[in-house]
Amino acid sequence: MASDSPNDTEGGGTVPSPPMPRLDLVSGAAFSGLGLFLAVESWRMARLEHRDISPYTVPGMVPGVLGVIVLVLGLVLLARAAAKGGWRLRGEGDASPGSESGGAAGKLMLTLALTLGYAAGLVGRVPFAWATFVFLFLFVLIFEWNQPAGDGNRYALVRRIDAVFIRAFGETAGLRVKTGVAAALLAAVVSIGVMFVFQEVFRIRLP
Amino acid sequence: MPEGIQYLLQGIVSILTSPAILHVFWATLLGICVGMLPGLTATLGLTLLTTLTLGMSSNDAILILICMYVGAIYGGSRSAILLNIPGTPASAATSLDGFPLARSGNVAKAMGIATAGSVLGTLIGMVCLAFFAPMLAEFALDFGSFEFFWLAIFGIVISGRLTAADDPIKGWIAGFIGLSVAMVGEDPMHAHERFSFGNPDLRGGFGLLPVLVGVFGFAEILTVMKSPAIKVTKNVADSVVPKVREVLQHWKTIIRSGIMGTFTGIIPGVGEDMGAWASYATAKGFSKEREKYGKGSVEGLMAAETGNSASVPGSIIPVLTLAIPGSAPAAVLLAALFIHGVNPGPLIMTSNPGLVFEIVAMILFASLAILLYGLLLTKPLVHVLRIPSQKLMPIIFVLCTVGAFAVASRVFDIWVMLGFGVLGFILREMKYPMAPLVLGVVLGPILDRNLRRSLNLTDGELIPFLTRPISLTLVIIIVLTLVLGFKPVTRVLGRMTNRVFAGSDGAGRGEGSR
Repeated sequence: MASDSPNDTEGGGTVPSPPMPRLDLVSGAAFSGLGLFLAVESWRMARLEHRDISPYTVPGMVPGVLGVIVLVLGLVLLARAAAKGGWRLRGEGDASPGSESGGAAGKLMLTLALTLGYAAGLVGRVPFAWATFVFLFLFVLIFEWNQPAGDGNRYALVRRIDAVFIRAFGETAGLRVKTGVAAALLAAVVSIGVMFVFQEVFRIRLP
Repeated sequence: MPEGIQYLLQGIVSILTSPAILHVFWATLLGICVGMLPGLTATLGLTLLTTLTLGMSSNDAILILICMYVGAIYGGSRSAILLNIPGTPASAATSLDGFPLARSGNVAKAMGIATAGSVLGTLIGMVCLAFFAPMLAEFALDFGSFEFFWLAIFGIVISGRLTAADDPIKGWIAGFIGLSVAMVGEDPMHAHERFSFGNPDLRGGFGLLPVLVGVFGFAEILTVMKSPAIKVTKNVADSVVPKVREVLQHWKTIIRSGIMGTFTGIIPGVGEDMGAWASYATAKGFSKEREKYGKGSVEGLMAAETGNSASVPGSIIPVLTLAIPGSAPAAVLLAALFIHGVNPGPLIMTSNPGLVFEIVAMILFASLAILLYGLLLTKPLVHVLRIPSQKLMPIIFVLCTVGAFAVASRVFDIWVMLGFGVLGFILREMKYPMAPLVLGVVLGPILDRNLRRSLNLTDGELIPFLTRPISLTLVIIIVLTLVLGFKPVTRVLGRMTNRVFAGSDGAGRGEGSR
């Protein structure tokens, strides 16, 4: 099964996983710390003696055991990564994800900023439909701002719409105006659609 | 069993004669689209639909979720064949032969074979579900707290081992972190707050669905957005109806992969991906044309698709009989069953004897729907793959936000989704599998309750944990899995085996060979 091993499990990784001793060292240390925290907090947890419960059913029993197991597994990972040279600040780089291109990191940061801004900032403070509209509009606009090329699009209708905007506003500005209009349309349709489907059809409360 | 057939017929008739049949069509189609699109997994599809079906009757909600599940696992094959990118991780093995077959000009043939494999795999798994679920439920009646405790550990250890095949320690860490996550909140035994630090939101613990939406939704959105855009260049020009003779000549592979996929599905937290891989590897082992595997083998494609689809009914078997999920999407199904007041577990055949067979009927309709869509809609459905991710992903994120909120109407759950999404993304980048983590969140309360109950029963004695036959069997499997998961041990064992075989070979042939 060596050559046929899973190369992508649901939410899993790619096999054969590239060596990543430095990242393993970091995650091993983090999990050891977490395990230690769980174990100590479980030990400190109330034993409820005043309720005369069995000492084997105290609330901290199971989380304490789990904490110790996480600590041990974290230490094993830590030791293994250290043995592979993960403690070196500079050396053979981890194959992933440190080797990502700057573009990928930028896209990731932008996605994080937009999604967190929407879900943790706007939702709950601004009416849901408006929050959703602003988020979708900005997301599509920002990500399509520099790639509105419609020439290569296989759909004739899209090419024709592009041509209309280019005629009206010029090459670059026309395509950007089209992107903005398309983003606004998408944002309006989706935010109204989500409100309607969830609240009216399925009777589900929205934030 | 005659009673079972009666329930099955009742189930079929009730779907056929009610608006439920419409649910079959839209939910399966939606499932196929979700499965096709890289970044949308069956787990996320089921989670979002669970929130959407909260107000429905339990039968309709379960039907919709099962159609989504079957459809999504099948849908993953479309992008695996066309783009070499599995739409769901369950289709990773499909792309090994599906993509080369498509690249050699046989796109339609590959699509047709995958459809046939999926339908037949689902049907084999469905028969196994009807046959084995009542048996397993009866067997599980003997399970006490010792067995349930070991079953929880068994699930984490096996799932961690199989979903992180080259580095099981990461799978186990993910699993035990999941179990620890389940410890947050009010202790069910003594109503004592654990790890809530006075926060009223944490008192209720982390809900499974917001965690799932984070780990499988938000984390996936981040992964897709940082990846290069996908370009669809292939078209399906030919007929997608596979030749019956071409399908039937692989009957042995179909039956073997179907049974194998089902049993892989039954193993807690392992699921469809492993069902496909195990079936693919076994088919290759038995094949007379092994050299064609990976280069467009019809048999390999058939094995992978039959295996992953058979795992769907397989992973529902432990959901119904033990209340333990066979896969990540099955964990959502389990949560949905509880939300709708259906209490699965060993007593299912007594408390709700018709349920197993009603679900069999639902799977039957879902498999017929994928056959229909596979034959009729393959060409138009390819257009779904052309939706650019920068338009699709923000919409999915809106649905994730609503989905996380809708279950309990708590804004805190949106924060949980965001936190677990970022955590899930980081862990996945470091090659930690997510299925054991999710399984851990589900199994946490089972482990907690049964370990403490067992210790209470034995007054702290550990020997009774090992003396009951089922417990002992589980312990032996757990220990073997753990020991064999450590590379130094497998290296030593490998050397010893080589030496033994070399010795016997040498003794037999008078010369040493490796």
